[in-house]
Amino acid sequence: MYGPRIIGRVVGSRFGLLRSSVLALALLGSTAAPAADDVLVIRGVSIHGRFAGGPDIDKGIVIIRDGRIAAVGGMDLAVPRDATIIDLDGGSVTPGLIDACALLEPTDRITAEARGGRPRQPLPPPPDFTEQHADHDDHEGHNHGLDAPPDPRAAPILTWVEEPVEAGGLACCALDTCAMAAMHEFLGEGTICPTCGQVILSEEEHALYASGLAPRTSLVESSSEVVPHTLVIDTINFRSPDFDRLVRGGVTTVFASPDSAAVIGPRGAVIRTAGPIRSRVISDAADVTASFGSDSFRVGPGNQSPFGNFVSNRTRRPNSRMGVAWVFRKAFYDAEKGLAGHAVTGADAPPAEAYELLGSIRAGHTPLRLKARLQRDIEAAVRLAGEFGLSFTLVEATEAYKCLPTIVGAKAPVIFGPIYIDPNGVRGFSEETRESRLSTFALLVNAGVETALTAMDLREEDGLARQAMYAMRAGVSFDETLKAVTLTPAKMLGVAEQVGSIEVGKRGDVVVWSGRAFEATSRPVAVVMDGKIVYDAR
Amino acid sequence: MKVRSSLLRIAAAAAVVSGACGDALALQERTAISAPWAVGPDGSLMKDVTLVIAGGRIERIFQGPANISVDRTIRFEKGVISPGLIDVASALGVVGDNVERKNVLDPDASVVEALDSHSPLLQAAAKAGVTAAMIRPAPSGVISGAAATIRTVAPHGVERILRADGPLAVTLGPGSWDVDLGATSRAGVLHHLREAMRTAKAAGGSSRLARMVRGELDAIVEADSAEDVDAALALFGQYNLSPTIRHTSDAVEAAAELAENRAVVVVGPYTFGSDLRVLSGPGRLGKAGCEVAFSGGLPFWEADALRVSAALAVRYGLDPAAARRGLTINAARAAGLGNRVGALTPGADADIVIFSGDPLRLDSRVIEVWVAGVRVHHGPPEPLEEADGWRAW
Amino acid sequence: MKPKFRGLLGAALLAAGFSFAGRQVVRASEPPAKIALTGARVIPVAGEEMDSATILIEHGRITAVGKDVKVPFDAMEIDCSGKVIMPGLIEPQSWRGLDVPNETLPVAPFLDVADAMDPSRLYFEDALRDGITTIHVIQADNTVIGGLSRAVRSIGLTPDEMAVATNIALKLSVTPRSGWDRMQQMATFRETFRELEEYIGNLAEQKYEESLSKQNKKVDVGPAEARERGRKLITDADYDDQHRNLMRLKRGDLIAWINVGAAMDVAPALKLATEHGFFEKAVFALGSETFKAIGELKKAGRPVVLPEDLFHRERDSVTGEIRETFIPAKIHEAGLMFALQPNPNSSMAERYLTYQAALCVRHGIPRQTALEAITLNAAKMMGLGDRFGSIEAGKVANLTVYSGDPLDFNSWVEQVYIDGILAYDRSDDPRLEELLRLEGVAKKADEAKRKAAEEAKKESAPPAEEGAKPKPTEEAKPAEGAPPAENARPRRGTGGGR
Repeated sequence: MYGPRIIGRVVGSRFGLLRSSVLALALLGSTAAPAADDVLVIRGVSIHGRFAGGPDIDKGIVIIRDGRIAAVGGMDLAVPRDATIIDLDGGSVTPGLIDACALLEPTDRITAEARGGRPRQPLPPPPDFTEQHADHDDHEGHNHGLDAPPDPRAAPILTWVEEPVEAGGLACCALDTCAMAAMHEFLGEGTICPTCGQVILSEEEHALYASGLAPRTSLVESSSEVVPHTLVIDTINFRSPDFDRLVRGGVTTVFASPDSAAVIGPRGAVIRTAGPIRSRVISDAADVTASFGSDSFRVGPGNQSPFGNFVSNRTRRPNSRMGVAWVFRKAFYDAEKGLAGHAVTGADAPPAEAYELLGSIRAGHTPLRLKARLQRDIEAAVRLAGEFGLSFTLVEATEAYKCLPTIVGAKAPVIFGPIYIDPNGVRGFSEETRESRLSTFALLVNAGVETALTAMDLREEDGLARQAMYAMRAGVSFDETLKAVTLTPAKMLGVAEQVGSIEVGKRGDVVVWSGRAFEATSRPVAVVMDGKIVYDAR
Repeated sequence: MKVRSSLLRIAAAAAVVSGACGDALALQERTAISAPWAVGPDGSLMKDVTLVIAGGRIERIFQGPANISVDRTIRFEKGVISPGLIDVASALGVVGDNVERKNVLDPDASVVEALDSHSPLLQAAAKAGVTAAMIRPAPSGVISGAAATIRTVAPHGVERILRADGPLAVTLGPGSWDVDLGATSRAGVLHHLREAMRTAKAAGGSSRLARMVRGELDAIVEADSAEDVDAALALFGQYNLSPTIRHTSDAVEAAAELAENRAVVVVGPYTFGSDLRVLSGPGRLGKAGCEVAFSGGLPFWEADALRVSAALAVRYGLDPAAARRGLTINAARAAGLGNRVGALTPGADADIVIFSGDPLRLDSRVIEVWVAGVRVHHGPPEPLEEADGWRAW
Repeated sequence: MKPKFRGLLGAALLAAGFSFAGRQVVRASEPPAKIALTGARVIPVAGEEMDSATILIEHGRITAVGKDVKVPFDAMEIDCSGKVIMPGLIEPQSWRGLDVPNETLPVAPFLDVADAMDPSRLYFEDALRDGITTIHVIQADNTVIGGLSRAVRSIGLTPDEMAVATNIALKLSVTPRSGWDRMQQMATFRETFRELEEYIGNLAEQKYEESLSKQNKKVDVGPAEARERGRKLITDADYDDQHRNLMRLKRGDLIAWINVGAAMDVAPALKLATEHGFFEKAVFALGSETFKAIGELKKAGRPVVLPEDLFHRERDSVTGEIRETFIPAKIHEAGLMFALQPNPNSSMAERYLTYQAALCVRHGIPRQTALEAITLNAAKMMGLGDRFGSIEAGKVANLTVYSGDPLDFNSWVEQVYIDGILAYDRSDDPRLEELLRLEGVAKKADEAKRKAAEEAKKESAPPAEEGAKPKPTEEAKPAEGAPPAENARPRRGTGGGR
């Protein structure tokens, strides 16, 4: 039940129908598939990424019929009449890019206003309840929120209490959830609130984060540190402009990864970046991601040590790397006990819902990803996985260049990225990003480690295509680079049968570039998914 | 579909019970009310309408000159007869007492138990032409209890509570997140709801959740954003249910999916300060084929906010007839009382309001309010207390 | 940490540095008399690109460029075949070499950036590594009237040694300095120039009186006439520090480098420049949204320096959509001359001027225009177009040698020549080596892999993938050239599509 569920294209109008449908459906065309005579021809381009299908072609033709690649060949290939034709001399074609670990825009804490439109003017409060809502702009009574118990009348049936509050030029996604929201103004820009763990931002920065240009808030369930029973698919906003940005960057399939706020986080999903909303899910419950390093106690609401007698849901482990290891180890240990019918005790015990899934991970039925950046975290991940005999995929691996032998010895595939030299933007907030190297990916590839490249939260100009460009700058060949953003991730996600290369019979996902792919002067001019042009900038 | 038909039965049974204990004299008087205009069942304005009321219900409705014998005839030289307006997802009469902060799933809580019938806020709403309100428990956790539908004014012998049991109030999105309740994210909330529905289905029985899963009890889902709408429709769709969706802003992005759901979409409240994108929502929903009902945010907003919301929706693209339906029959359908209130059709309760003009016009004022065939309010300048049969409080 | 200049300076330059004495402007070094760079593809920026051309350098100046240039018998010939040579890149404005980018006084025309320049900044080293040979060092934007700027080489031990030209421009900012509003900003401009007039008037009157008193005469005319007559008598030495540079600005001896951070600042900036006579010498440094005033900018027709981030992103206040504008496209459409800057805030690629130019090409701007925007245009804006910015006979021999096409991100800066001296060589760059160190680690990884394979054998497990792979036959040496291309990396069995 907990194995990776490949549920294919959604055929009915409900996810429910879909989930009950079986693998067979995945290989059939969907209701959204093009009509029988729907043919797309891309002509005059160099064709890369055929992999098993043959060598690259300098100038050739790709024919996509009924959403599937029907023929690939030189300029002498017969072109059907009445086909839609993309003529592009000097351009090139690659398979649609695949990001094996995309962090999609988390919409959870971002209100509708923040995602679009100007902030609404404060709504007129009713005469009887003015005092309850005045504290947002009440500078003198700023401790109002601290001693006053929450008034039930201020429950969110009042639409305006949910809105992002802007006080003194500072704004913050957590203002509506943090008990110390009134303090944010006094802590000042750039500091981290001790209560909610959010970085306090200026209004401009807030707008940037809220826009999804730089996501950083957590979408992971935080009532426990062990939540593999929850699903990332539930948090995905299929209408997010983030998908448009992915498509514009040539990315057609992604693994929607949770962020690293929990030690053992939710299960990700394999989804397509465009197409009818209900046909986008390839797998709604894929790998579980566990996180080593400081993220699980720093990202999201954050864990605190008890303050005097004040003990809350947040005063829990981990608060340190030791704590992370403890929670990880205890989760698997307790699950084993729990499944065997023994009593599970202790403050950091995983929730009972998680036992079955933890057991499934140990049995190797559910794939596991371990996210680690620093050398010591990578080493800890390898060690702990060894303790329980878990096979895993290593994710992010910023300092992999320091412990290459460990990684090679662990025989773990790696999803590496993003590549950067100086951590800027949101990456600047973590102390785990300081020693990144341009050459790390090249080293992994050279060492023969099966490595996919990911852009994580970076998009458009900074997206996966640029990661490939960086990889090539560090010396990786074009073919190896292309493989790392197409076929390798497709294999890791278990969808290599459908996507990841330009081969007859596979889905018609291709990116048409204005020049050679991953070159600074060329860009995607058209993105084709299932034979349909989903982005056109010719 | 199943939901609705079963509700009809419940509502009909309730009506029979209430009729037995009504004030026979006041309600049995046969009255004809005529006015140059009335709001028809499809929301359009009908000309020269006469309404015959008997036994607290609408007996007949005519267009054009009527020749019938009645006990009394009331003729309005100008004005529009409208079904009493209904506020959906309201907090009228339950302010401050309707949050049970204990469990992430609280299907057994009933908001009707928190009702204060003496609240002056109810009176204010009635004066603005709002004769009924579907009150809902404030969101706390995923399922916060059963909503109820009440009359804002109930003269002696007229029942106050139109429906006590349902629909079930479900909340997705940030409103339902609470670390102490055990869910702090969409994934957490949906996990709880999915498991609860699965368990209820397997366990069966007569719990509210089991009834909901079987389609015997309807649900109103608070879903502020499009992804919540998607999640709700997908999850309820697994059980072939069509829940009423309530949203305020962003969910309009899912208009096509909402139209496919074929249940009423509750929108509002709106003000002139609302975002243009938000204000154009009902219009876009209407064009996509959705039926909307309005929530006026009562009592936190002015009682007229309900009509203002509808008027703004029209201004930004909603068909006027659809907006009038949204104030009346669609709201009644959202409350599961579509056969009982909300339309001027024979057999429905005689809860009517006579406006000086189209209810969608802001300069229209309330001339009279009738509830179950009893006139409960004369518009200004006459004081409320002097109205006929006014004995509620 | 290794000494900063290791790998950056030629021995000749070090020698020159040690021999440097006193406050005199010296050349970085005495260059070899004649050098010929042969066989490279040359992008002269001014003129057609040439394959396998020769550049002849004599005493730090380019004396000949072309395919059929004869290499003189006494010239040192350097074979650059397979490489691409560009003019040294020029950064049109930068304050990253200053220890403090701004004076706190709002009006400080008496300042000179030379006093705040720190030649030991990593920034200069990075600039050189990225192929930038000339930098216009200027005060930052938080000012009303700032100090004098200078153009410098990206190498040298003191501000004076680095300088190629001093007293280039005066910084003005129409966009308010922090904490100020626009009314205050513009009032300060008005007050400054009014005070300048008054000062000159008084000075003229005083000079006239002095000239009369030398002849033992009394003032015989009214003050207005005295001021008029005295004006001619003023020499530059008579001005005090505060007013001398302002006067030079008004006379057109200095370039007015005007910061217009917002679209609304363009009109006041044009008015200011026209009123005080420096319009013909004005260069506008644009902010992110200034392009919205493209109509006014086009009418003015003055050159512009584009913001670091070439994209303007903004959320539509009604629809909520994010609108993205590629600024150079707008500027190019208006036919304005523009210069690009590197963006130090980017994650990596936009830090390179060449990538900024590649972005322009990617968005439809002609290659030639994009190349000019990172070389010649900045030189012209500084008034140094006759000395820098292209590979032409007579120009200073500032050259950047690339391993491939400069607009290809896979190309690396191989060598940089400044004044005909080798100032940077990638094969001797310890910092870059650190960043790209592949050899040592790769060896270790190979060992580990071998060990793992052996263990796998020992465990008598079925032959793992590793076992099937061919053993590496020789060590990869990717740090040398850019792509380690076909090195001895074991191939995985999955591909084969080569």
